[in-house]
Amino acid sequence: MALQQAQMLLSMNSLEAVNAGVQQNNTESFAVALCHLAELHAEQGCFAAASEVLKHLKERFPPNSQHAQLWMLCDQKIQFDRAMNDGKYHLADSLVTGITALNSIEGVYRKAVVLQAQNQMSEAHKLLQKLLVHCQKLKNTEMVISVLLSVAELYWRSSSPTIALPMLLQALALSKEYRLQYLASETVLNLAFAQLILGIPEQALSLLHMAIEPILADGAILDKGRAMFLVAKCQVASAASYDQPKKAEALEAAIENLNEAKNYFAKVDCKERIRDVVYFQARLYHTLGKTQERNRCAMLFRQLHQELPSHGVPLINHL
Amino acid sequence: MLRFPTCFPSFRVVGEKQLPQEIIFLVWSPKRDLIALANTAGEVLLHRLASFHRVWSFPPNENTGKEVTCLAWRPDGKLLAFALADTKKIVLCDVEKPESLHSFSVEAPVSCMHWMEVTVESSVLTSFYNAEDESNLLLPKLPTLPKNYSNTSKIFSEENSDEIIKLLGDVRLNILVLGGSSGFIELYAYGMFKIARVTGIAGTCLALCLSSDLKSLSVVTEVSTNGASEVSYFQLETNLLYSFLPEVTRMARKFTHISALLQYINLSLTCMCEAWEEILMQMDSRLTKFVQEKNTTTSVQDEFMHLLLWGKASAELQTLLMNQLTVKGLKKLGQSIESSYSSIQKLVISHLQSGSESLLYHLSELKGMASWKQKYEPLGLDAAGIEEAITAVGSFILKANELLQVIDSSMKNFKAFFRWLYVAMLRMTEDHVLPELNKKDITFVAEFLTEHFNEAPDLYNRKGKYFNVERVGQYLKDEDDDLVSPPNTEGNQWYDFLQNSSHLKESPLLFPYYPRKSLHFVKRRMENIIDQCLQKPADVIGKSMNQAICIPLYRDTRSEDSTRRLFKFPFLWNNKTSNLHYLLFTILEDSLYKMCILRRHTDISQSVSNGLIAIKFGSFTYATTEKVRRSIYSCLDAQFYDDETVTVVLKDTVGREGRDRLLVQLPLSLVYNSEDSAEYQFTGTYSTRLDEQCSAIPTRTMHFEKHWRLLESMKAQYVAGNGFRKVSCVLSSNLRHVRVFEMDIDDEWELDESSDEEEEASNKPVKIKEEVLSESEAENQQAGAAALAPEIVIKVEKLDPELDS
Repeated sequence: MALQQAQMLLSMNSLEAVNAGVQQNNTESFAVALCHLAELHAEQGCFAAASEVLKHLKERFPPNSQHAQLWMLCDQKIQFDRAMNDGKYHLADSLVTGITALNSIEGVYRKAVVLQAQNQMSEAHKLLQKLLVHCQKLKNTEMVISVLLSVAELYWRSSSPTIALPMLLQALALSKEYRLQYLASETVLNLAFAQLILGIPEQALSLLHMAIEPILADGAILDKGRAMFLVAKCQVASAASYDQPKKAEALEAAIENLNEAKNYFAKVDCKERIRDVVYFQARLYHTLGKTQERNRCAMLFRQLHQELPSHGVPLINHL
Repeated sequence: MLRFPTCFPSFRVVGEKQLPQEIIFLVWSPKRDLIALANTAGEVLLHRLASFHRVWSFPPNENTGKEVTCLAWRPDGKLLAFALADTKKIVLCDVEKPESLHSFSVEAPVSCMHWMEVTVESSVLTSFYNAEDESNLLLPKLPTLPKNYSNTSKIFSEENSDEIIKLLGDVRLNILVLGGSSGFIELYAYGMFKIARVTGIAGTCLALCLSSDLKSLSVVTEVSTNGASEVSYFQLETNLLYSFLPEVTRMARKFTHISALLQYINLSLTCMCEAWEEILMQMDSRLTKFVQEKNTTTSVQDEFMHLLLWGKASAELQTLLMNQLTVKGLKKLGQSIESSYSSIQKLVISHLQSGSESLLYHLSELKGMASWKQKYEPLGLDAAGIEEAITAVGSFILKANELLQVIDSSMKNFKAFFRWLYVAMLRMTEDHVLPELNKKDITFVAEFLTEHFNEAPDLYNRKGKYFNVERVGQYLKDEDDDLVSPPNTEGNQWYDFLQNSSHLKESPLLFPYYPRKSLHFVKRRMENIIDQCLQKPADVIGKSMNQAICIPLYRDTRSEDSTRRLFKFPFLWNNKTSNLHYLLFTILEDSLYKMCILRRHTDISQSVSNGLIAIKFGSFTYATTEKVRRSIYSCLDAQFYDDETVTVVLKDTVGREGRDRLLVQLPLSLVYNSEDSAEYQFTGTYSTRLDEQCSAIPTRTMHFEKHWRLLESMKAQYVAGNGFRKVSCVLSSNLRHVRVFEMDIDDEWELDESSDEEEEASNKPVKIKEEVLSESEAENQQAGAAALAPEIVIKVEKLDPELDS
């Protein structure tokens, strides 16, 4: 939907320009629409197209002109996300300063995300709490929900998923109230994960039915991968109670979903997550007794592991 | 007059009517005391039980069609579907009003229909139901279409646009199964969207039944070979539907939304085309004529420019303006242009845009579903195809937006141009002159003239005119041609950028833009693509339905015209609680029709005892005389009344005219009596025709002491029963005489003196305790008597001396 609006705006601007003056196109709306387009492309893994749009913006709106801030922020955000995907936290950390200069709330949030990724839980928690209060005062609902989700993640990473639940429910209530469909699905995804940790994977699976379609429909590639990964985890967890033939079937289905998740992650080169997926697949193949496939996955894991040594976060505690 | 209370006056007559037209189909509403009839005149009638009073009639018309072949109720009784043979259409009609809510075309004339509802429950389903549609939260309500355009489809005419939801009814899946000639079988979810097309069944469908657990589909077909037709029974496996029920439900609902929205967009576009009037072409045609007639060398553009700059027009132009166009005409033209443009503009903004945005929303939801490969790929949902469809909708939105801008600029241009022309013409007539135009206006008009008043000889060859001043109409023409004057995208920075880019150009996220095509063209393209990706699941699901069982039934040599045959056997019924398919049919034996009941489990892998049994009607006990009516009976029609009972119309072969037809309620509990069921086993084989192995079919002889009634002075032939409201309707063989019965009056001690005027009290067959039984039949009869308790002995005031035959 966003895509459609942006393109409509762009073509609208253009036709007006034919009739009226020439300089019409250097408006803020044009810049916003293009930035938006760049972000959407980056989300879907079309980085070349995104950078092309940004390059065009750079030419059209030189760095010291009025609307230059728009694309600068957009550019840095995209870079930040890519760095995070790649596991280059130090690089992401260095980008935070730039983002903070342009948009302080966004900057603080990203700082917390980096801290969290670097396993500096208490610092991240402090920062997020402050940000939460600030955003609630400003009524920046979207940010409030994102912060709540991050806080919840902190809780289960420190192995206390029960405390995370009220946070998630609050986030869900907010996103439903403000009709933020995508954030709502994101929250449901987190809720399902919490349920998985709490040991009720069947519940989690049926909850996922609600969330997965919007995510697969309009979500960022990374989110799609995460959703499929979670589905696979839930399938494996609920298969534990099945009898043998049914269990094998469920595991096969999980492997298929993992493949799909892997494809998604590959599109945004999120090596860390690919590593996790491959590890998981190797384990499943092992259970099914498929040695050849298992060895293939294991080798892939080994390669990735050497490239990106794991930081000791257990696989299960990571959505 | 107060009569004694009579027990079991079996089946009280509650209505009787002679109808002006022959009835070719009748079916009771599953929930209410309404009966729908179709007659030879092509009318669909709805009658109420009470005195068979007519509720409404749906007259035949050109649009829908004139040849109704069959009817089916939606299981909730709120919608009635009927099939038309001449237009090959299916019409859905509201029970409240005789108007078409929705209609669609099918490939072949439909000969039978069955509308079923899914009864399966599961936790996954419930969560699917709960996840149902946030769309009404997120999307704006679609504005209603103008009244006069909504004749064709009433979905959008009501005040609230939730009409689609209403039409969909309950979230629970219901499926309309259609069968026609040459193996045509299609399944429509919610009676609206095709979810399966079955292939591989030969012959014309006579009856269809999809089991409510969705495990199998029963079909009876007829293949005619030299004069006689061979009737066979098929059971098709529908495991895909069964195992993917939640997904099918969700997909079907989405599909229904999408097809309804496509229809909405189509109607909006029709409205727009109608708002555009031919009068708007006047300008172009006048100017063209002017070019043809004038003998000067100067171009039209120059002539007008001349007028603009020096205020003087050449003689020819002056004649054109003053004599042909005239001041009055100019005013009128200006007004009609403005009014029609603004109404088109309104339609684009409010209807077309919101409609296409909803379409985009639903399609992207569908994309989300399709990307969940594990769930939806087996159903044939294809993510790539849907993505293409989304892009096509995007292009359509862009095109609509372009039209909007064209209208906008045209309105501005025309206003300025006409104002100037008006002033110029006033000056020519030397009327009082309005204030001069300022310089800016003059530049504007000059620009307009240069842009729009160019003579285009190549255009003349194509369209027969030199000018294309009016630029809105070209978007609304349903032609494959390119636009006559496409919008100018030069100097448009976004398109320039896009053209020069290397990666962005190939981005799958961008909607292609067809600068040279009309709105209609883009719409048609979009429709085709969407249709394609919605078609695919129907093929995939249809292919998955394998023919599991084929039983040749009998050879039918009766030569009847096709319309009458619709009532005939065989009759299919699905018992929802015990998951059985029942088939009622008759076999001709010694010039008598013997009724047979075939039953099969809906799950193909399971078998059922007493799969085939024939029924012989032995004796009917008369209450009055303590005598038994013994005769030989031929079965004329039979139908399931409810899960336990079959309603049968019998013909007494020796009874005299007018007293030879009987209406009987046959309880299945007696047929499938568990005590001696082992004795009634079919010893033949299902692979050869059943009427060739009559002797192998076990026959159960039934005796009745109650639950039957003589049908006086009526050549009854057909029956339609309704176990929910406990009524039956009997139709005579001339298809015009109907009589309605209340079937279940066991507990009713009627002290009513007025209700039975039409019938003579004397004719009432009343039950007594049976005593006259031949030895051989005693055993059976005891079983029957036990089931039909309580037994009450009644004295009857008057006897009918003629009852015995």
